[in-house]
Amino acid sequence: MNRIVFVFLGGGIGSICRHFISLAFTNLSYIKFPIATFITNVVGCFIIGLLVGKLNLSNKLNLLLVTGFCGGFTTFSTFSKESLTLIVHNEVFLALFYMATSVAIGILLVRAGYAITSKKQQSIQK
Amino acid sequence: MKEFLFILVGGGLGSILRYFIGELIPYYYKGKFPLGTFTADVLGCLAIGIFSALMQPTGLYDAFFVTGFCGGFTTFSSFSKESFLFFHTKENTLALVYAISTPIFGLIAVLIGYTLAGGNLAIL
Repeated sequence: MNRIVFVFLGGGIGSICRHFISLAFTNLSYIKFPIATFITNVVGCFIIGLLVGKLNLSNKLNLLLVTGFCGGFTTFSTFSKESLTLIVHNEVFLALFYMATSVAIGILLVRAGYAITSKKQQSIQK
Repeated sequence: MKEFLFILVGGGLGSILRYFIGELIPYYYKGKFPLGTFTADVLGCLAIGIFSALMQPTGLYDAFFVTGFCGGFTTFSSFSKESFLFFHTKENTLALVYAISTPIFGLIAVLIGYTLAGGNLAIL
């Protein structure tokens, strides 16, 4: 039961943080590139990388921070909807650019986060 | 203020559903492909397509179902983490198949959901 509470709280708080970022970028909404979702997703990727590199995360903290917070903070549905919106408005190149950069930079930032904490973890174990 | 509560609850419930799918799928599927995240992401894309066709892009319904539920149900961070881990363990083909197929299926799922629910593509 309390496993579900951890996922619920992490996911709910992550979703609110994502909403705050989108509010902070509303005055930039004249830019066609979906910058708020992009920033949320790549920052979330960096955070999940930091958490995954830290090997001794307890099961409950993993549910709260990885499954919950990072999962709720980042979004695949809005990312896909924005890509489709660009495509149907004849911005195919921008859609492909958005999708490619989100995926590539997301993976690179997981790697960067993972490298930072796993290196620290190794030096602690030594 | 009410809006934040709707996003919190929607996002929390979406995250729980994603967690259940992630726990359930390994009982039926033993392969390496991250089918749990893939299923949640593609279903969430179908859902955002349907909700976008049915409701205004502002207000409490949108806060609960779109920003909250669909946002919490789908995840970009786990998707990227799983892709990274495949590259990390030199399973490059699997990494590429996963990282390329999920966005394509996601895009198709939004289109199907939006069209089936009677949405007009010109105003998406």
